[in-house]
Amino acid sequence: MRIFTGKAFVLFASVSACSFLPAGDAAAMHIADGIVPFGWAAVWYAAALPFIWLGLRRMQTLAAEDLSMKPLVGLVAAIVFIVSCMPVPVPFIGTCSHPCGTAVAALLLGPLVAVPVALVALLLQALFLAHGGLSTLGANVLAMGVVGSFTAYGIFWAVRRFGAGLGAAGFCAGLAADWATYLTTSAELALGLQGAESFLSLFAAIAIAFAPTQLPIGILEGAMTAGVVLLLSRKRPDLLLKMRLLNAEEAKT
Amino acid sequence: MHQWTLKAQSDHFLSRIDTRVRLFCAVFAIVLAISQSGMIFPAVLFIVSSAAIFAIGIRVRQYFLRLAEPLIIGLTVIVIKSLAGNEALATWQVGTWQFTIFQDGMLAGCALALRIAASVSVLLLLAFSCSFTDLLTALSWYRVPRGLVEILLFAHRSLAALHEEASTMYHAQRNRLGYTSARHGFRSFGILAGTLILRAFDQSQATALAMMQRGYNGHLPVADCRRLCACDFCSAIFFLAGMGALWMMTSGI
Repeated sequence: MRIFTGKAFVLFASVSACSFLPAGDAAAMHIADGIVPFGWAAVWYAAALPFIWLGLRRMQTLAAEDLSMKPLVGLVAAIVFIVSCMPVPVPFIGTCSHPCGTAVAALLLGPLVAVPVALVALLLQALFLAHGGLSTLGANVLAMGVVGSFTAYGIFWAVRRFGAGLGAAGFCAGLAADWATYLTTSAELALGLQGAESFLSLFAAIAIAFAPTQLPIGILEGAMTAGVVLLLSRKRPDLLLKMRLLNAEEAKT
Repeated sequence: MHQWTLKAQSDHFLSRIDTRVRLFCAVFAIVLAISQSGMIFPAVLFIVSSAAIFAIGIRVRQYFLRLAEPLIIGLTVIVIKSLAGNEALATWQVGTWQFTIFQDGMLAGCALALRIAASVSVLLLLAFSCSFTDLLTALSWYRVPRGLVEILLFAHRSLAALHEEASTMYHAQRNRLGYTSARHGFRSFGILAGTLILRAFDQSQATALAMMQRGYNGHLPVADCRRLCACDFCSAIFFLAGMGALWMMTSGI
């Protein structure tokens, strides 16, 4: 068996990925419908379902205390969908792209509630835009909703613990969430597409092929998350206090 | 900005079949498509669903615009898969680098690309042929958790208004040079997303208040489904039997 590896492959994968992109907007990294075989699709669904169930339970608990919770979750899901329709120029590669928005959802609503938010946004994207799909919904929810949300939340609080400001913590959370989503999606794709190739070589090929768009999108996601958190801290610190992103002392200052 | 709402003719041949049947058949067809490694079944499914999409009044250009991204992903998959395999088809020497295209890899890539095209076209047929509210009613009938259906409803209700608002803000930012450079673009996008989140919080409070005045107790009522008729059962049986037989023939069972 011969496998095309080494510098030539890296160059070819990057060039082929870039050559497809300038024609239009580069989409955030969702796995397209039909790409993952049935067995793996079932595995990703099974892995995502407990988090969806926990997220819905958490949302019901919060909704029992505050009746505006469900409309809020629905509206945040709609915003995640809408920001994915906004073309923003991506530096270095001369194309447009858009962030995922799950980092913001995870910070504002908590990582568990962000899972159903991602599910709803992904379902709407699949139906209205043909981004992602039904068979890959489990894989996409796992990458974007579970890994993305929990990474964003964990990184935000880890950076805050080191004394960083809201903006810096928000930026790191958005950046880490996007890159974690991208790496998880690459791994899911590599497992799904694996044939004669080894998992690692295919994972590297996919990760490299999408790096020219996904690395700048991560920075865009970080900037957006920082922008949202900073804007909320200036205009509505009470909301950040309610979402426990600020403590009472910080809200006063 | 994307135009994400496309409607079929109001009275098409699929409108006589209940949405629950259409949803079940779509999921069944996607499962069959992703559980086969051959090319014939997905190719037939793609042709049949594309023909049905045109028959219900969707224009060719609109359909292929929606299909463009999955097709680009399919092409990328063919390129990546063609670079690994056992039977060399062609070899090019570019300087010191050697590029080899493998026949078996390319065929596997083509099968995957057809699977993507088939699954996406089935999903698009479902999305074009039924209203979102009908789809949610069907999901509710299939015992999808109520909380999920409710946030889908909230998200869908607010999509148009939020999209309009986001679109106005985005164009206003563009006209005031908000996206001339990456730095300006990131800042503008952060403000846009932050403002949308602020609106979402305010709107969720207002929506909850308005709904509480009309007796909302935390649960949205979902419309009841009509009784399935003989026509629904016949269509389902005809479709499932036809697809199942084709799948078995193309699988060599």
